[in-house]
Parts: sequence; C-alpha cells; structure tokens
Amino acid sequence: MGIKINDQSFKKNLKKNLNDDFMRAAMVKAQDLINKNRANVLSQLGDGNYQEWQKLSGEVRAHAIENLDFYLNQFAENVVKNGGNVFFAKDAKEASQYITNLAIEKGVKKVVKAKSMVTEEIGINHDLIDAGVDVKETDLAEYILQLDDWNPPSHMVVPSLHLNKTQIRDVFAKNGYSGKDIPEDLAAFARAQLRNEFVTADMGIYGCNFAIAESGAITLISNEGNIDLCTSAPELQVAVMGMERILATYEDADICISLLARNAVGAKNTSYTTFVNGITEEGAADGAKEFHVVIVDNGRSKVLKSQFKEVLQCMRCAACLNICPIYRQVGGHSYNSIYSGPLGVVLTPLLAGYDDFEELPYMCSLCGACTEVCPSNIKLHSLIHEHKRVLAEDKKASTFWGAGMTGAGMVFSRPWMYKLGTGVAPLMTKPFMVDGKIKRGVSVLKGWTDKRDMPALEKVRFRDWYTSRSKGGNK
Amino acid sequence: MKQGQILNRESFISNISSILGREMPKEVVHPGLSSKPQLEIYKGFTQAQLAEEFHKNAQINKAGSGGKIDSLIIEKKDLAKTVAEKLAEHGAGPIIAWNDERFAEWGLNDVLNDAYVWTDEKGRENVDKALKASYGVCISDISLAETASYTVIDKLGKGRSSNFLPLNYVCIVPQSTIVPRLTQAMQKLHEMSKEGINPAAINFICGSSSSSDIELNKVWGVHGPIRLTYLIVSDL
Ligand code: SF4
Repeated sequence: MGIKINDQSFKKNLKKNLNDDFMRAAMVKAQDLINKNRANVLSQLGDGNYQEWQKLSGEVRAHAIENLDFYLNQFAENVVKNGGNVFFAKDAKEASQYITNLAIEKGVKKVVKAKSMVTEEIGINHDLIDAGVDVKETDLAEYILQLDDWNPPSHMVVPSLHLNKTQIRDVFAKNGYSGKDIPEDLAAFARAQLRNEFVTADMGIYGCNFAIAESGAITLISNEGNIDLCTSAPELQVAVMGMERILATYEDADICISLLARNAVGAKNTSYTTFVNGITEEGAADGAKEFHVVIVDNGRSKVLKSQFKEVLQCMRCAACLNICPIYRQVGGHSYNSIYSGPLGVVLTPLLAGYDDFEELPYMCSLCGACTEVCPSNIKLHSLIHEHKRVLAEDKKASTFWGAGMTGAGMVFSRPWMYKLGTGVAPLMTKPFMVDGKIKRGVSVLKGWTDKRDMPALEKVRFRDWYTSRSKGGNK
Repeated sequence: MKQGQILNRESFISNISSILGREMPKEVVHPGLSSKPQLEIYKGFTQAQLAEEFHKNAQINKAGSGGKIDSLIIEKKDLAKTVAEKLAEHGAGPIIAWNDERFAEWGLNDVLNDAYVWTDEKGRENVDKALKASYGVCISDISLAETASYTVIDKLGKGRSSNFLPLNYVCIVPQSTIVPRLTQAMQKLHEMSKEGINPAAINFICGSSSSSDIELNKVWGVHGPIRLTYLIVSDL
C-alpha cells in the first residue's frame, strides 16, 4: 500500500468522509471511551503524576534518537549474537525486496502477519502476493480489512474503526460466513479461519514496538495474542522496524511500556507483552529457527536532519488521534495516509513529501491537546505550526491558503488598505448573504463558509464604534 | 543465505552519524533517568502483601473480562486438588503441560497423568497437540503485582505454542516470584543480558486473547486462550 492510501484529491476524500455518518459517530465513541479509560488508568499510575512519566519517556526517547547510530549498531550486534540477521534498508523498496527474496529463497508458501504500521508503509503484502505467497493478516481488524479488498486502516490502534458490524458481516459472508452481525460470532468465525494458519505458516512477519539495544530484543505489545502466535510456530521469522524504534536499555523500555497501553487503549497493560531475542535453543520443537530484523529508514534520516526530528520519538500510541477535535470530525481516512491524526499531520509530509500532503498541516486547529497527552513528550502542535510556516515561506501553500492568506497579509499589513477594506466589507459581502448570514464566501472566507455560516458583518466597524463610545457617544 | 549477517550497516549508520554531525561514538554513557517514580510503586511491600495486590488486580481484570480471568490464593497442600478442579471447570478436554519437574515436586503427577507433556524431540507433533488442547498448565517465572501478569521465559520443554494455543489456562503463580511491577522484571532481564543470557522469548501475559476491533465491543478468545486462572500459592 505505501504511505498514501488512495489517489483521490484531499477535498474529495474529506467530502466522502464527512458524509459517512457511521464512521463519524464511531470516531466520537472511540475517543470518548478511550479517553475516559485513559484518564482513569493514568490517575492510578504511581502517585498519578503523569507529567513526570511523560517527561521521563520523552528523555529516554530523545536520548535514543540523539545516539541512534550507536544504539542501532549495538542492537544489530546483539541480534547477531542471539542468532539472528539484520538488514538495514534505506527505503521501502529495499526492505520489501529483501523480505520477498527471502520468502522466495526459502520456498515460503504461506506467511502469517501481525499488525504493523511499518509493513504497511513498505507495502510488503502486495510484493509477497505478486511472488505467489499466500499472506494472512492475523490481527482481527487487519484480517477484516484484507478480506474487504485491502480496505485501508483508519486508526493506528483500531484499524477497522470505520466499518460497522453489518459491513463486517457482509465482508465475512463473501468468505463463507452465514451468521448474524454479532461481534462474538464474527470473532469466532475469524478464530476458526485463522487458528490453523499460525501452525501451518512457513514464515511469520511482525513489527516492533520497541527494540532494546542492550540485548537485541524486539518488544511487541498486543491484546489478541496473534503476535505471540506469529512468534511461536513459524520456523522463519522476520521483524520489521522503523529505525527510530530503538531504546537503549530494558530500564528505558519499562518507562515506555508503562505508558503505551495506558495511552493507547486506556488499559494498564495489554494482555501480551513479548520480548523476542532471536532464534530458539537448539532442539526446540517450535519458535524461530531463522530470524531476521529489517531496520527501515525510508525517509526517517531526512526527518532526523530536520527541525522535525522530535517526531521520531513517537511510540505510535494514538493518544493524539484520540484527543484531536479534527480527527473526531473527519476520521482517519481523511488524512489519506496510513499515519493519521496529529502524528500523521506531522509525519506524513515528512516521509512522503509536501506535494501530495500539503493540505495536512491545515487539519489542525493548534489547540495543543495532542501535545498535552503525548507520552513521548512531542510538541506536536508546534511541529504542525512549523509545517505551516515552511509551507507559507516556501510558497507551497495551497491555492486557498496561498492566495487567500497572501491577500489577507497584504491587507492587514497596510493600514490604509485595512481601513478601506473593513469599511467596504459589509457592502462587499452582501451578494453572499442569505437570511442575514454569509453562506457562500470567497477567498479567505470560503474555507469557513464551506462548512458553516458566518454572521453578517456589522455596518459600523469596532474601531469606529469604540472611538465614538470613548468620546461619549452611545453608538 | 549465510546466517548471522548484518547487511548495509556501514552506509546506513554512517549516514546517521553524519546527520548527527559526528562520527559514531565508541561508547555512550546513558544519562540515567532524572527521577524514578517506578521504584515507588509497592515499595517495601512484603511477598504476602504483593500477593494480595496481584490477586486484587487479577480480580479487577476478572471484572473487566466478564469472568474470563480468575484468581485464587491457596496453599501448596491444596494445589493438586485446586488444579484438578480448575482443569474440569469448563468441561473435559485434552491437557498439555510443560516438561517440568516442579509439577511432580508439587504433587501434580496424578492430576496431570493424562496430560500431553511437551517433548521437543517429537518436533511439530507438540504444536498439533497444543492446537487441540482444551487446557494448558504453566508456571510463572516472574509475576507482576501491578498488572497481575505472569511471565514465561522460553526454555526447552516449555514449548512456546503450548503457552498460546490451548483454550483455557491454569497458571501457577508461586508467591516468591511476585515483584511489584515490570520495573523489577526489566531489572532481572538487564542482569541476565549483562551475563550474556538473552532468552529467545519472554512473554508477559495478563489476560486472555481479546479484541475490540468490531465497533469497540470487547470479544474474547480471538486467537488464543479464552480463559485464564491464576493459582497464587502462598508458600511456594
Ligand atoms: S505523537 Fe505522541 S500521542 Fe501521537 S501517537 Fe506518537 S506517541 Fe502517541
């Protein structure tokens, strides 16, 4: 799939999603539920001083990023000591090719995959399928999306949030399900379909929440247990990680793991937290006999070089999505990226370029709620603001923002123009008024009036009213 | 393919070093954490108090799971009887157990008489047995009071699949293995790693397999185990 999820225009995507009432209600429900649980578990973390933990987590993530070369090298050495192999991939193509070639070389017929953003990013599924390999996504949501003709994920933690149970029933019905749209029954169908796949697969592919440099461990956090099954049965296993996923020590991992599930799903812990350290002992009946870690750059080094480097601290918990008022209204697909919400707004244009994603930084009201919750202590709203600045200064801003804001800038910076403009504004906006409201603005007003009405401008300007009042007038 | 390879390391790492504006350091001294709130949690608790906390948190997990998780504090003398009861609770069915001499030591030979014992020499047959098992019996290596998690450290005879495939689990939690939280488990893994011991897998488990992917409705047993019972043994 890659980072971009479709080729439609930003506006078209947005319009489609704004008309999807179920999806929008689902976003609201998810945000409300997760945030309530999140607040509850965070208040029970130690003495409830979340900011202290947030600061610590920011420290350990920043330390790892500042010394990324050293820790990646140490990690790679340790993976090899644990009997594994490491492939450093500069881009998505290299990463996907390495894994696909490995599958071909080893005669792999079936792969079981556990949910991972980076494997979406490198588009491995389609390369494997093109090579004749049967790929089974095993995370329940990803399994649903795969059966739904690779419908893209809309949330980092709950990828199928945009589908309702009847839609899921219909997807399953095309694949042999004959029951009702009851979640338990649907999950039981998935279970029956998938259980055997784990033990008959030749290869397991999974992501990595954190990589521990001091031991070479890959850390995986999940509720479903599918990751554990992918790490248990297949003899050939591949872990794929973005290069920024590194942590120096187990002690650092403790801090980050303690915050991840709490922020992601509002639970103290997920059912499964797993550390994988390479191949199993000689003679073991299951577990990896051959283990590979693919470390992916794919644009991250460009981010490291930039003023946005702090975003590499992200632990993909989705707390910023879950608090964001814009995400609440537009849903994950509106970002047209596998990375949505405030994190997506910052990260996507950096990894995939402004050309396709120049509108994203404007999917933000700069309310700062994301920064407040972020367990990696990333100042997300400042980074989004920085994107806006870069776009404005590089004159890359979209037609609306570019022309509109340039015009507005010109007017606001010239007193005579401002005076004239505000004086004639009530008259100028008259053609766009219906029932005393401005309904169809142009230029700067258009972005506002596309979505809601604007009150009519007063005939008397505030400055004139104020001057008159100060002089004792009563107008 | 040659095993134990690191491919493309030099160009990848040197690119990062140059972005960071220096050569890769030979050594990095970790600045340490600026505070350690994690050490304050259940600080100074006795083993018995930690067992109480483990049990309390397991009961919270039980409530959240609609009864799919359970926990009992028992004594060693009652272990065999309680394991037998728990192995029958959800109907009869094949049992899989580790190849672990502690079961015999703790008087469980009779109870596990019919169980399939994981035997690595038998290869994939073990995995098939695990797939069909109704019950798995395991022992926690490190137990975390804060989250009521048990830990399995990979070793011959334990069988990774046996820890995830059966429908129901009975996990024996020796009170002596209970620590306050993940912090102490990480300290242990750090010490092991310093000695060059990095077990192939370390699994922390605090519940059953669950998912909220369908309209945020929590469903249980999506892939692996549906039920989990902890038997906290106060004198083990
Ligand atoms: S940016 Fe922060 S809040 Fe958002 S996903 Fe990453 S870690 Fe979580």
